[in-house]
Amino acid sequence: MELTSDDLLWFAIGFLKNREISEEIVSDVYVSIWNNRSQLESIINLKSYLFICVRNGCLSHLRKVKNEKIISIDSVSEFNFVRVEGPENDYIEKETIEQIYAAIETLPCKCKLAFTLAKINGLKYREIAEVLGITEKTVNNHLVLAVKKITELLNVSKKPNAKNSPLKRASLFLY
Amino acid sequence: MDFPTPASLHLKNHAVYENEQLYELITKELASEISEDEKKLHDFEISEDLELRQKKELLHHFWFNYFPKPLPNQIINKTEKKLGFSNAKSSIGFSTIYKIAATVLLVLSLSFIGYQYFKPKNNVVLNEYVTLPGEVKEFILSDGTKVWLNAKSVLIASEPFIDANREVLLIGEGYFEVAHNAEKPFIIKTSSLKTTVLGTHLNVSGYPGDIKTEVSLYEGKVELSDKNRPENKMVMKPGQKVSFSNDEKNFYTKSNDLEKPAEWREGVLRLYDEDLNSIAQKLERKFKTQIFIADEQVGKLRFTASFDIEPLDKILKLFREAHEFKIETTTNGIIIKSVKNNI
Repeated sequence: MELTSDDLLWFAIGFLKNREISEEIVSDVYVSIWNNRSQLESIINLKSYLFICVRNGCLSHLRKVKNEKIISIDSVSEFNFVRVEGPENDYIEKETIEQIYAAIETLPCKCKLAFTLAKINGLKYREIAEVLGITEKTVNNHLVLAVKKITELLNVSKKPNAKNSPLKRASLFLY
Repeated sequence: MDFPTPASLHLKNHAVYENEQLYELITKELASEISEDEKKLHDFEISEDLELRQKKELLHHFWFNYFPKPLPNQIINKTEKKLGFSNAKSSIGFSTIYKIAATVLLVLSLSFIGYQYFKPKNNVVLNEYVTLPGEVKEFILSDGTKVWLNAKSVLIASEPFIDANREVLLIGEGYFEVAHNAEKPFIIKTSSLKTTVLGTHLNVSGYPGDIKTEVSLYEGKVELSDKNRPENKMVMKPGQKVSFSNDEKNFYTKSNDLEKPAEWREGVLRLYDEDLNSIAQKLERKFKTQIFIADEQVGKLRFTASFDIEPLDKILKLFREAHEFKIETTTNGIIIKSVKNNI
């Protein structure tokens, strides 16, 4: 899975809800990486390093603006799951997507963060653990909680046109 | 687990712990963290529960097909500005002094040759200025115009310029510092485009086979016109970069996008969101080699980068860090192919 500026930008927007400032923070990260490029070799995983840099940039911005004692990622109380788009004329109904969003909204902040990093950015458990400063086991717990919440809130069988889905139709034949 | 049970029964029969375990398997499957054994277990367990499987299919589809929209952003611009790349001034160092000395020598020798050549006969000669792959050369035309030719380029001029226009033919890429002469416009023709200037600094790139001709204007004013349809034309302002699509015959203008003038003269290769097909052609010219793009997919990979002294193998390896592909070195050149392509 490749990493682009977009990934980092969306991640920052998740914290700050402001695109302009988020762009500023990502480019600051790039500048500091360029200025410290001689030390880049000692970084083992550049991908999680970049996310950590962006995370730190966002935290220190929040610290400045909110005048709160945001010392670590643990003190962050809000993270927004970004809006996503699927293929055109997708077989999944808009309502279903809204259900998924609603389920994600109910998740605790850290859980939403872990879910975002895994789903949107394709990070491995190990990388998510590094970015959020938690153990892999906790990452696993967060993600399982997220998947469970979404699955439970999804309402497939009651929907009248649920069988429009080719996948679902196929699965019905098996029974 | 010996035979399938109806969904409702299945849920009742399973302990909460096992249910929890199944969610863990589903999560691992989505996050591509699942082992082969776990995958088998996952597939089996999920085939037992119709409702859960339907939900899982939905979630799977959501997970792998729903992503945030690309956000057009100014991050790279902002970064370059902060680093001062856009208007960096080079201090005069040893190499600059060298270059000045070389230029002075070149001017002296060229004017001497020019004197020898033109003065006695006063004949018009068709001059051909050529660079080989891997070469960048600087020439001075009879009117004082300075031209730097990038690798594998040809400039043809009939000199001295006695016609109403100073007309030259360019195949490839050149940076021009045109000597000012309001009475005799300087015209650069490429295969598809005619660029008319009075006296300016500009870069023109029109290699055969390229899908577009690019003109970057650093000083002054120039007029561009379609070679086959002169009424299809536009006037460029300094700081602009115009691409003329050789097929569609359209002009695309980008403003405030100019790097330092023709950095290729110092051996810098700057790529901005270019696909591998076009990058390969540039590398072929710069490194005197042949690069074969084995499949369409790999040719479409896009890169933004700049290099100065890196050797070819280093450059390709750096590209491979960003997007996966395979590199094969043969006696005739380099083959680049997708990882998935097993031919």
